[in-house]
Amino acid sequence: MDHNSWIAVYTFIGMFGMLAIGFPIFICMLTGAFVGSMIIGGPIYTLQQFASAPYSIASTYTWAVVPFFLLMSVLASNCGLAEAAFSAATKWIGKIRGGLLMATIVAAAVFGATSGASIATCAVFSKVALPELLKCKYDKTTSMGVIAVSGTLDGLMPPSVGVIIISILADTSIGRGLMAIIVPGLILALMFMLVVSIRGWIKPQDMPIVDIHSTWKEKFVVLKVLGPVLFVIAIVIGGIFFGVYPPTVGGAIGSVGVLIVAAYNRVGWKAIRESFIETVVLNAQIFPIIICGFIFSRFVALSGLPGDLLGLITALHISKYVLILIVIIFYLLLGCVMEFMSMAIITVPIIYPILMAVGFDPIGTILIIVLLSEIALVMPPIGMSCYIVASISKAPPEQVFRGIIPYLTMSFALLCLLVFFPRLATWLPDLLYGKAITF
Amino acid sequence: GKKADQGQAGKAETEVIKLKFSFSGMPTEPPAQTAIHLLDLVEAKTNGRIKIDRFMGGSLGNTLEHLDLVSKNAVDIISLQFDQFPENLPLHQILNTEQLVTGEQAFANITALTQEIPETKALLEAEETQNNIKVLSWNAQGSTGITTSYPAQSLNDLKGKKMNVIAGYQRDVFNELGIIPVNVQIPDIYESMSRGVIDTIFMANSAVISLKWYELGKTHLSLGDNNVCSQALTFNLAKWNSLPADIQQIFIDASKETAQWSIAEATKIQQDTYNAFEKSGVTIETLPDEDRTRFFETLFKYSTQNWLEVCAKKGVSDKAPVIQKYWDEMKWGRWSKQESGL
Amino acid sequence: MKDLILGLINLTTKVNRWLVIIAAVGIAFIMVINFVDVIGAKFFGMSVPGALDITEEVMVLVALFPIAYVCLERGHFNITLVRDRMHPALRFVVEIIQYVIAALVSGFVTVRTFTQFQTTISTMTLKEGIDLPIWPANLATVISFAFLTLVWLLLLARTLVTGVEMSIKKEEMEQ
Ligand code: NA
Ligand code: NA
Repeated sequence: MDHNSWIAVYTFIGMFGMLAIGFPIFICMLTGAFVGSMIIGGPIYTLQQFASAPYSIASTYTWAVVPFFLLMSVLASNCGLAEAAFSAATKWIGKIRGGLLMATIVAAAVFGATSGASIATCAVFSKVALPELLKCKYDKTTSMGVIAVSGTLDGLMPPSVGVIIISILADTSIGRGLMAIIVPGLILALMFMLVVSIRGWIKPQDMPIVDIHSTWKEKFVVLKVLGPVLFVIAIVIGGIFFGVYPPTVGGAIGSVGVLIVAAYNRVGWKAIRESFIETVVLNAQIFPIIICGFIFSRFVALSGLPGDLLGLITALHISKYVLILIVIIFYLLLGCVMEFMSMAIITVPIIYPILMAVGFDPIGTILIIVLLSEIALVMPPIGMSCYIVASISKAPPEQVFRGIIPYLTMSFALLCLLVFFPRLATWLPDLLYGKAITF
Repeated sequence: GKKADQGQAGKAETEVIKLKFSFSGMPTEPPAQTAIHLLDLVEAKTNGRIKIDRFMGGSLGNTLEHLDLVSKNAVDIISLQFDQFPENLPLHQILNTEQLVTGEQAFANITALTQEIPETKALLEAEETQNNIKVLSWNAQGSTGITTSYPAQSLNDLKGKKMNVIAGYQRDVFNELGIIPVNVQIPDIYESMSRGVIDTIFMANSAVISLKWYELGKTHLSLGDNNVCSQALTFNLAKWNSLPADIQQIFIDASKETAQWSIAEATKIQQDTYNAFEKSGVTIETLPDEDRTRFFETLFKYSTQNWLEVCAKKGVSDKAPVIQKYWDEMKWGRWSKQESGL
Repeated sequence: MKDLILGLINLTTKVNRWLVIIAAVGIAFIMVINFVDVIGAKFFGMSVPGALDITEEVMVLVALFPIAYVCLERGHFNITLVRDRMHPALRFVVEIIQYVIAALVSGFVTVRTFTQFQTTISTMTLKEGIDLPIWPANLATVISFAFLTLVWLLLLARTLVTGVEMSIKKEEMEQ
């Protein structure tokens, strides 16, 4: 590794040091990027970067997905929609231990089928599901953990921005990639539910059984309150599915849907006004991290560290499975400090052909990288999804990180499955598209 | 003897010049491929005296930050997307629009305007100097075409259908042709077409393979030979001037070689694109001649109008006609170097 | 001294509350723009010219206007595990260092984005294709980071004053 790469390594260490003693995360990244850019890129480069980057990153349309879905969920929560959905769910599955968490996982997977960004899913469910889970006396750490990892299901349900970008970088079929994530996504959802029920069995006090007494009549009556909820879901999912609008604006449309329901239910002006205020305040906790994450990623790119590390890996001449293990570790380590898609753009065009050369499956490998990008979103110390859950739940991030551990294990288990059984990924696309067409 | 020679050569060339190249698009996109080809050539021809670090995929900045990156010399070379900077490079804007000619001719036209015709060369160079940049070479994108998600044969079949819109003036073009312009970002196009947010895609054919649109189309409407020259390899002016003359010459030679290579490459990509369409069952239709003329007349009308407005706003209305005089002939393929006596 | 600082913090909070309200209006505005755009395109054959560009520009103030307010009212994300277990004196020192560094980098961003704002004014840079100038969003960036810098400085002052007060009290008690 050359001088610049070492500078990057020292900067990481400095940044983690600041992080550990409680500096705000975006300040850690901004300071790291400033010092590192000064040393590697010099003052001219640094002056230019800090002048143009904040505006230019904040004004990226792709990120509008975050405040839009935040808005939708804050409105849904403040206007009583979330409560209605959960009271119905309680009547039906309250008897199953951990049933509400399982319902949250299923709902997140369904929601993931409309949204292209995991952090949007996390925002929605921390706002919509968590307060209701807490009302039913579910353990907060566990509930937050489940919500944070359920967000990762989003990337494994089409549409998925990750699959599209990585397929383009690796020059494989986007359509196949999008089909290929479905089966592993469903498997992961089942694994999460399995962990929930095991935990419920070990620590029943964390997931109490609620509402044992509801009769069948009550069960059907309660479905009436689901009407408005179904209306909003139909607008968001239906609109995206039938091509009325692209996923990015789904949140904006959903917000309008919730407002219509709120007007119908005569929700007060105050609740609506407060929802808008709350949305921008929550959003402003998330955005500085996104912006500074990108500024920091640019510094890492400038240092040449990713390329250098790849050079080391390829020089090793190791066996197939050791190689993939090192690649996984490589992505997890860099994923701690670098925005994943920035990193993918630099590394996938180099790493993918190497993995192909030693005989990994083309689609299976795409999935491994996509899954890693989802894992990076919840991995401490900089797991964006966990921060979002923490901010909305007003809990310290480390509590969320503690909550995800058992579920994160399942994500790693799926990663292993994909390494050894790529058929999990290729089965569905092969069925739908026939065997691979290559150009 | 040989060893001593090498030692001496080594001494004279110990000074390795390190340059930074940045591009905001994906490394798989044709402009990136062209830039890589050129930079590789330069590195090879200078025997390691020049080392160019490449930063792709916007890893150092978004598209809109790139002019700033190079003009302030935060990086040394970029692949410049002219259409993003009308305020800074008003006169250059027209060079970045459609020409109804082959890649070879499109490239010859741009070369004439930027390097051979004295009156236009002076104007364009002055604009570059103002921005502290030196444009080294342009990139011919190859033909633009229309991919539809339903069977189509003529302009009539596009009426009332939804098409992605990128440049602002395209909106007027589509409206006049009865096509509904829809705001879709390039990364969203795949999902949007597959779910019917848009029915047709209007974009350079060279993007089709990397963005996988052949997976979605029913018909591809060919518009015949047409080209947009864009994404020039652009130097920071001071950095360029600081390079030794022999290195500058190597860059110039390499850019000429690369231009030829990129034209051949565009033809190859065009063929690959058509193969990809055929393999995934997309019918390729050629737009009838009268439709094609009407399409380009409308396109030219608004692209010129838009350009003249930009020039007026930036106070270079008096200079625009000097270029327009040539461009109006060039874009229809009615201009040639021989006839003009250059 | 302490009253002055607390008064200033109060005033800054009030001003920034207004920035938050502007941001809230901003998100309501782009929600409507996007809704009209997609519905118009799908059902009426008309889309809003530049809907994406308007969204991008307004996004800047939506995302950045509340950052100083967040800093005052909730605090930006940090990992408190270690700091909570620190000796008060050490925590005091760490906080001082944090506020100094934060004020310095935020101040640097403010100054740099101000230069960028001047450029967008002098070239009158517009969003591609529509006549939407980008200087307002650039100005919003400058304002947001300027307030953020101010807030760090005020928090620094508050920590210093309360820290000194506490140590004086402690000395008095020990005597
Ligand atoms: Na998804
Ligand atoms: Na992470």
